[in-house]
Amino acid sequence: MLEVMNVTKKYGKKVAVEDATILADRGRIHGFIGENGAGKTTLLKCMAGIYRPESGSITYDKEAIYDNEETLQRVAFISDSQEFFSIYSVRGLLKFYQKCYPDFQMDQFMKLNQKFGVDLKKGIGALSKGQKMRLPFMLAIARRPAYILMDEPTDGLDVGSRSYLKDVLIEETEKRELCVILSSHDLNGLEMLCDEVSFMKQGRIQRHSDMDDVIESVQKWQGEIGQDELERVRKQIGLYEVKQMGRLVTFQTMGNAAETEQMLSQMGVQSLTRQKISFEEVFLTWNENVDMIKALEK
Amino acid sequence: MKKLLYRDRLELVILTLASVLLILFFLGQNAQNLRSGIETEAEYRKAIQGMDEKIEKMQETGSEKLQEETMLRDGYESTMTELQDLSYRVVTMNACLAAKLLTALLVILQFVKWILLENRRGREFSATLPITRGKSASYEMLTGILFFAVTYVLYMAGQLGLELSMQHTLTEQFPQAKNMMSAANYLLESLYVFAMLEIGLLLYAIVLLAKAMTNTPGSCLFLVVWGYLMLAFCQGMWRYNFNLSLQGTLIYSYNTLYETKGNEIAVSPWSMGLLCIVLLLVTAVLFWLVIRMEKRRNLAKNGGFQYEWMPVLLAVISTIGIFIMTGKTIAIFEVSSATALKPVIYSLTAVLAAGMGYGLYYVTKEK
Repeated sequence: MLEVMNVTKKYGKKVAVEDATILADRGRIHGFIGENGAGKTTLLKCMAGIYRPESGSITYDKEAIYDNEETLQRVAFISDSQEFFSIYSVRGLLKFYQKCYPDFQMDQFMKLNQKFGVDLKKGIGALSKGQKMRLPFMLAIARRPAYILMDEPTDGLDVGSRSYLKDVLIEETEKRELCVILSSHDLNGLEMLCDEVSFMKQGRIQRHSDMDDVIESVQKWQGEIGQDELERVRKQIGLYEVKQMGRLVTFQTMGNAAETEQMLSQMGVQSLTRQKISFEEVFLTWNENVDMIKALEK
Repeated sequence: MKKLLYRDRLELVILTLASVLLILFFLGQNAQNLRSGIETEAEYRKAIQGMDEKIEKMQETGSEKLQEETMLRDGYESTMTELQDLSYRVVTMNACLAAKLLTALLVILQFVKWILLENRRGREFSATLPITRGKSASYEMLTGILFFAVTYVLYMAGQLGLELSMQHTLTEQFPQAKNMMSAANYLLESLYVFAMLEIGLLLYAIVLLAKAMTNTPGSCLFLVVWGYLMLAFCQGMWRYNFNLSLQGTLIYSYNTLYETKGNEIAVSPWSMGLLCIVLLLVTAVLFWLVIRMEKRRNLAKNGGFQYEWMPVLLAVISTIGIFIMTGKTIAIFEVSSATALKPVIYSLTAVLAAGMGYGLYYVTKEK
C-alpha cells in the first residue's frame, strides 16, 4: 500500500504541497485532479522520490522511497515532460533499463511497441512529442513495477494511443494488482479509468474518495420556479452553478440526492428532473466553491 | 555499479584512451630529453677528454681554484645549465602538464555529463532510478581516484624504465656515473608527480562539490574557474619550490659524477611524502562531504538546489584558504629552519577545512 502521510513540500518560502495524506491500495487506479499550480506534479514527484518533503512520510509497503534502491525498483514514474538521457538511442536506453531493472520484460516492451510504433534506432532527442510520451509508458510497464505514477500521461497522444494506454493500464491493474496514481486534465478519461480520486487546490488535498461517491456527491437539477421562491431555496439549500432562463432553472446541489429532491419539491420547484452530470462539471463546482462547500460541511 | 558503468561507458573509454595517449606522449618526450642529456654529457666529456690528466694533476697538487677555472672554461657551467633544463623537462614540466591535462579532461567530462545527462530533467530521471545518490557520488570519486592512480603507477613505471636505461647507458660511457641515480632521487620524483596528481584530485573533488552544491551553469562555471586558478597557483608554487630542490639534487648528482665538493641533497623526500598525506586527507574530507551532500541533496523547482549565498561564500573563501595554506605548507617544507611554523599551518588548514565543511553542510542541510 502507498501511504502518503502529512506531506508538506516547499520551494523556498512557497508552500507547494501542504499536509497531504493519501492511502492507495494495490489493484486500484487513483486520479489526481486540480487546476494548474494546485501541487499535483510536486506531490507526484515527492511520491517518486525526486523531491524530499520538508515534513511527513511517503512509504510503499512500509518502505520509504527517497534514495531507497529497493523501493525505487518497484515504483515507476512517468513525468509530463519526460527527458531521458538525451545522448541515448531508444535501443541504448532499453539496454540501460535491462541493467537497472532485472525484471525488465523485453517481450512485453516489443508487444506494446507493435501498437505504439516507436523507432528503436532513433536517438531520444529525435523522437516526436507523441513518441516521447509513449516510450516512458512502455518502459514503465515492461519494468513490471508494483506502483506506477503518471503525470499527464495522455498529453500529446493521439486518440488511438490514448485508448490503448487506458486498456493496458486497466489490464495490468487487474492482472498484476498494479497500483496506478495519475494526474490529468482529461477529466472524462479519468472518469472512465479511476476507482478513486483526490481533488487538490492550493497545495492541499481538499477531497479524497471513490469516483462513484464523487460523482454522486453533486447533483444537477432542472425545474421551474419563480424568482422569489428561488431566493428562498438558495438560502435553505446550497445551490451551485445556477443558470436561469425565465422560470426554467438549472442548478447543482450537494448532499443526499433523495432528501434534496424531496426538499426541492416541498419548496415549490415544479417539473423537477435530475440530469446526468459529468465529472468535469463536478470538478468545476468543487473547484469554484471549495471554501463554501467546506464551510457548509462543517 | 553495472548500471553506472553502462551509463558512463563513453566517459570511461575516453579517460582510458586519453590516459594511455598522455603516458605514451610524455614518456616519449622524456625519453627524447634523456637521450639529449646523454648526448650533451658525451659531448662535454669529449671536450674535456684531453684535459683529464691536467685536471688530475691539479687535483693532486690541490689547486682547487685552478681546477674550477678549467672546468668553467671548458663549458662546465653551460653543460650544467643545459642538463638542468633537460632534467626540468623530464621530471617537472611533463609531469605538471600531464597532471593538468588529466585534471582538465576529468573536469571537462564532468561538464559534458552535466550538460547531457545531469540537466534538470536528467537529474529528475536519475532520481527515479534504483541507484542511490550516495552510490553515484562514490562512483564518480572512484572513477577519478582510479584514473589518477592507474595513470600515476603506469607513468612512474615507465619513467623508472627510462631512467634505469639512461643510467645503464651513462655507466657504459662513464663508469663513475653508477652512483648518479639514487633511490632517493627516484622517490623524490615519484612524490613530486604524486603530489601533482593529488592536487588534480583535489580540484576534481571541488568540482564534484560544486556540482552537488548548485545546479546553475553560472555558479558551476564560476566555481570551476576559481578551482582551476587555485590549481594553477598551487602547481606554480609547488614547481617553483621543487625546482629549487631539483637544482640541489642535480648539483648533488653531478658532484657525485665529477667527484667535486659537496654531496648534500637539498630536500628530504619524506617531507614531500608528509605533504602528500596532508593533501590526501584534505581530498578525503572533500569527498566525504560530496557523499554527504549528495545524500541530502533535495531538488528544488527549476533545477536549482537549496542555495544561500553566505554559506557558499564561506565555503569558497575557506577553500581558497586551504589552497593558499597548502602552498605555504609546501614552502615551509622546503625551509627546514621554519619547522616551528608547521603546526600553525596545519592548524590554520584544519580550521579553514572545518569552516568550508560547515558552510557546505549548512547549504545542504534540510530545512
